[in-house]
Amino acid sequence: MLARMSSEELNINPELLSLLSAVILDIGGKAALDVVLALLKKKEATDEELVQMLKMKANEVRKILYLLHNYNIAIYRRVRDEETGWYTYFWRINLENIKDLVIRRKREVLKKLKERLEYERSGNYYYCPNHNLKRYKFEEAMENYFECPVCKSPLVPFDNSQMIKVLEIMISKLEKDLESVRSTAAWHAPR
Amino acid sequence: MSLDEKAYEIIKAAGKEGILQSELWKKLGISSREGARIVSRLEKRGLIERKRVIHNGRRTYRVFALIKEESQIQWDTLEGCPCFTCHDLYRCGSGNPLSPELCEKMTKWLMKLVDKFKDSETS
Repeated sequence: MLARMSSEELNINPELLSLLSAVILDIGGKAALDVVLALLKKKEATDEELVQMLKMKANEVRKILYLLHNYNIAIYRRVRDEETGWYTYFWRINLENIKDLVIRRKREVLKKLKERLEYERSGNYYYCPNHNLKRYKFEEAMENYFECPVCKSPLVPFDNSQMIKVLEIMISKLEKDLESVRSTAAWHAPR
Repeated sequence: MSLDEKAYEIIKAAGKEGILQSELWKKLGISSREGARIVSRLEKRGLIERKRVIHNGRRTYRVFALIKEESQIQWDTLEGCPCFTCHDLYRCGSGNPLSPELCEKMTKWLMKLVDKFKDSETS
């Protein structure tokens, strides 16, 4: 039922909400989205309150909160109980951060893709047809006498020209995307 | 940066308060004639807004930047690139135990894309 909540109810810009939902669904699935929406609705909540609201298991809710905290989407403030010395955590969603998070992640992924492209361009690789996710550099293949260390079948040269092409396409796509973010102020917006 | 762009940056920096036209001319070091042209150009492009105000008993305009929402930011994972949702993204790097070079998740993704491109080329 929570998933049906509209942006008006939550008083959030609909575009921001759809961006947030897309991100959450990808990193944590539907359960995570439920937690996020519940938190947005309540502004601030303890894990116990969330458990009650969502009728989920406490460990599941906490797991999701820690995951979101890792991404800096969920943040908490903690209050110490004077008598017991225990902490109570009040969680909320760090909405302002979500755009930054997406942009930062995109930049980081771009870096990774470029590193991979560099690697693909820099040598010859061999692979075993039965274990085709593991690849060997020429030297490594030679050390193994061009045999798969696992199943002993002969290693075959890996033609990575297609892979390089795909990488280049994806890198340019991501670069273009980030470029448009830089000129967010719509300087180049259509007149 | 062109003069238009500079002007836009200044107006943007003025934020919600906006800036008086005369102050804008001063900052840019241009005449009001040049300035008025720039401002009207920016207005036509929907980048700024002018509001009539009275300043020191004179009628003038205050200009405001219309900041477009950063709606272009989309969560596009490049057809399922695993890095976007990888918990180890910031630990991964060339030479590290986790690296883009040897990442099997990435290899899988790339292989899938290669197949897809092949299919679209043959069909």
